[in-house]
Amino acid sequence: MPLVNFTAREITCKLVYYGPGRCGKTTNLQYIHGRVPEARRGRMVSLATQSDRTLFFDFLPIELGVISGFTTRFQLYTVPGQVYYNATRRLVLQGADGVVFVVDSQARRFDENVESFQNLQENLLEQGVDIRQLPLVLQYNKQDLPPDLVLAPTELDEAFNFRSVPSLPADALHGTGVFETLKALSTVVLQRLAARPPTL
Amino acid sequence: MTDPFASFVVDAATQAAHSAARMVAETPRMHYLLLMIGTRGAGKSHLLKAIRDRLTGSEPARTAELVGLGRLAQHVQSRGLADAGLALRERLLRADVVLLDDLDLIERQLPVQSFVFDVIESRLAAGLATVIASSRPLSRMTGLDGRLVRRLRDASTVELNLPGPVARTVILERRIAESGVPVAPRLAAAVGGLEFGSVKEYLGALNRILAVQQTTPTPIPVDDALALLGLEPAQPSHPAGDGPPASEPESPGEFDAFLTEVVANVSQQFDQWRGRLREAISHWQAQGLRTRRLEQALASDSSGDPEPIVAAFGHDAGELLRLAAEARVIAPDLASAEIFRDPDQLLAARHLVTEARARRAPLSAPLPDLTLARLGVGVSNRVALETIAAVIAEPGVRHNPLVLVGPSGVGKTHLLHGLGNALMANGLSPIACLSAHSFLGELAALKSSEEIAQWRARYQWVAGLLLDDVHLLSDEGRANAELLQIYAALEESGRPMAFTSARSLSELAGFDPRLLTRFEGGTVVDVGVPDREVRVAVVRSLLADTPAAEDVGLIDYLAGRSADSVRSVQGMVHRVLAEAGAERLTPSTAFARETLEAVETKPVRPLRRPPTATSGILSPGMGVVRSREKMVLEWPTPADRLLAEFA
Repeated sequence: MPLVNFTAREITCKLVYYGPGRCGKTTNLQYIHGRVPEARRGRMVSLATQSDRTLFFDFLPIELGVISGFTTRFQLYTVPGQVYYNATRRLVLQGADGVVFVVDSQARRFDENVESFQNLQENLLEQGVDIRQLPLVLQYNKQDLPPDLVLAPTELDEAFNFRSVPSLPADALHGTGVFETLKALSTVVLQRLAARPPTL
Repeated sequence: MTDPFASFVVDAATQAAHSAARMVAETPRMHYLLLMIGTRGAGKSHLLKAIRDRLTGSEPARTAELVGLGRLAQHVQSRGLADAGLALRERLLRADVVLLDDLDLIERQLPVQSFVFDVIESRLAAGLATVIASSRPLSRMTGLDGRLVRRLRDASTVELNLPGPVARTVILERRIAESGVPVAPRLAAAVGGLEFGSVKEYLGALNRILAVQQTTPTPIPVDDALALLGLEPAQPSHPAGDGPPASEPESPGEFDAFLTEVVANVSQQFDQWRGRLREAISHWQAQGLRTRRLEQALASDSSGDPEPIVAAFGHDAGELLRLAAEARVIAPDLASAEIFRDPDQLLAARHLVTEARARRAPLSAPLPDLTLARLGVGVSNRVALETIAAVIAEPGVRHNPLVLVGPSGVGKTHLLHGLGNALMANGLSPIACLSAHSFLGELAALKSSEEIAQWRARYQWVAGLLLDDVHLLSDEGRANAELLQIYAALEESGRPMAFTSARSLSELAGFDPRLLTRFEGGTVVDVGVPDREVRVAVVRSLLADTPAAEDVGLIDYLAGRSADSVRSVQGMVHRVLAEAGAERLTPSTAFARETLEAVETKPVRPLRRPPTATSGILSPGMGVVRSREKMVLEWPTPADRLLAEFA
């Protein structure tokens, strides 16, 4: 659940970008960072290796101002995609209010996507979170590449979207679908502000 | 109760949906399937809630079930339908109206669609109305069950389109008024005149302005306010060195659009919270309850998540309604008490019902045979009877308490029960009429303080208290204390009380002085030894159903014999009747004389020791405990008396 502090009248949502290495998670955050007015964004913390790979995680706080009397802020995180940083991924996933799973649409990266998606489910389960209960959005990134190199969104839906969560094609480098993805996730997350267990 | 439809702004774009919704709310039990289509934020959920509130508010016995299909789908995904699904289905089939929101959220959710189809079919078969809302028309939805699509194509379909600028301005003005934030004049009209896709976006835009407005006391000019929405040329944002993409942004207003969406979502969620409170207020008011606590929470807007408040209130309200229902059965005179309509007074209601339960416990009532009509009247009890008549005429006002004092057997008990029966005949109920002996016995049987409290409450609730032989409470401290509490409650509310005592008040020892002063503050009436008039009446009464009923000589003889109590007279008459019955004779004066005087002339066994003279009265001194009034019958023969005198 998004953290709603009624005393301080604050809403804080932690959104995590998850996916295999080099799928474009950091690029998503960089694009968002570039579009958020300076007054509303914090410093983007990015711990990267010399080869520009995320070593630890990226962190981008966004202040959305006072909404309905609540100071609202989003905290965007990415996880390191490389397999050997699983402990860091678990740490970053802790307390996530929603996850964007960034799929590398390239056909040759399909297995890595599947492996990462399974890893996401396992890490969530270890924290006692059922992925079916967590707000999730799928972003099919790199759709700008030549069609013979990438899988179409419908094909990727077949492989990953078996529970009909929002899924969006994207080209994070140029910004296509980046804010749409963030908007889709924030909508699902914020809908849980007033969520109660459905009464049957 | 205000009309839930009143808060919906109607214009040409929403008129049809508004009218259809009103019709369902006003004529719920009809074979009707309504499909309401409109973009997100167009007001579909508003109308669905209005139908429910209108229906249940105007007729509390009616039921309307509002189900968000998106949430239902989430639930089905995580837990399946199973037993809970069956229970929901039962509820939906019983309801007068079923309102299903967000049909578009169950695309490709075949189990949920199948469930919805089944509910619709069953309700139509039963002639019941169902309303479904969707943000997209059927033609633009995929993955829908064919049966459901065919059924919905046959439904009455109404559309909610974007309201016009005037209606939008009214909606925005209401939002501004709700926020309490002072804004520039014509702000609502200016925002309402913009081009957005849904009411939700208009509200989101306004919320963004209000958020900034909250930070400054001066109303932001309309143009500046619109600039906050990014309606002026946006300045491209290219933070240096922080890794933004090299390419030109595709849409410089992306963040603003995103922010608008977030603001709209957050506002909507908070509206839902407020709506939850309003919904609870409406629900409980429809049940006739006060909802001050919920209204305060709604007004304060700072009390946090309303769910615990709503749940706590619901818990209290539910218990209060149960208590009120119980009160209607066990204490109809209390059921209309105001506290049964105010959950904030639950503790008082609990207390009241506890007392009412205690009040219902069985009480010793006056013996129905001992009526005043059957009482022999004479000089000895005339004053007592006149006083009792005054009590009956103005119970609790005159002679309260009434204390009848006199030796045993003179008819005090009869007078007391007669008073009780007369009070009950006048509509006072219940009347507790019991002996002090029973009073002590009941009290001694109580183990816990709770039992004592309930027992005490039972007496504190009576319409009148008549306690016989109160002198037996002498040296009974606990009983004195309890009687004092009961007395205080009855005295305070002006309920009648009467007591009898075989000893005069001045002779009562071992009593709480506060009780004695209260007795003395009432009316103390002496009941004397029955005079001839009383004795005649008693004898007549006892002979009434015998062959000797009209035997004046017998009546005269029996009433003329010495007797210091009614009980003695009764004893004589019963003995004569019993002897006559045994010998199959009609009682006569001669027979009575023979029977009674033979008894008196029977040889008396020699006394083992002479009787002791005290205050001129001799006790029998035969080792048998007897009351002094019995001594007259056992008076020694003249020979014995002479011996005693000379001893």
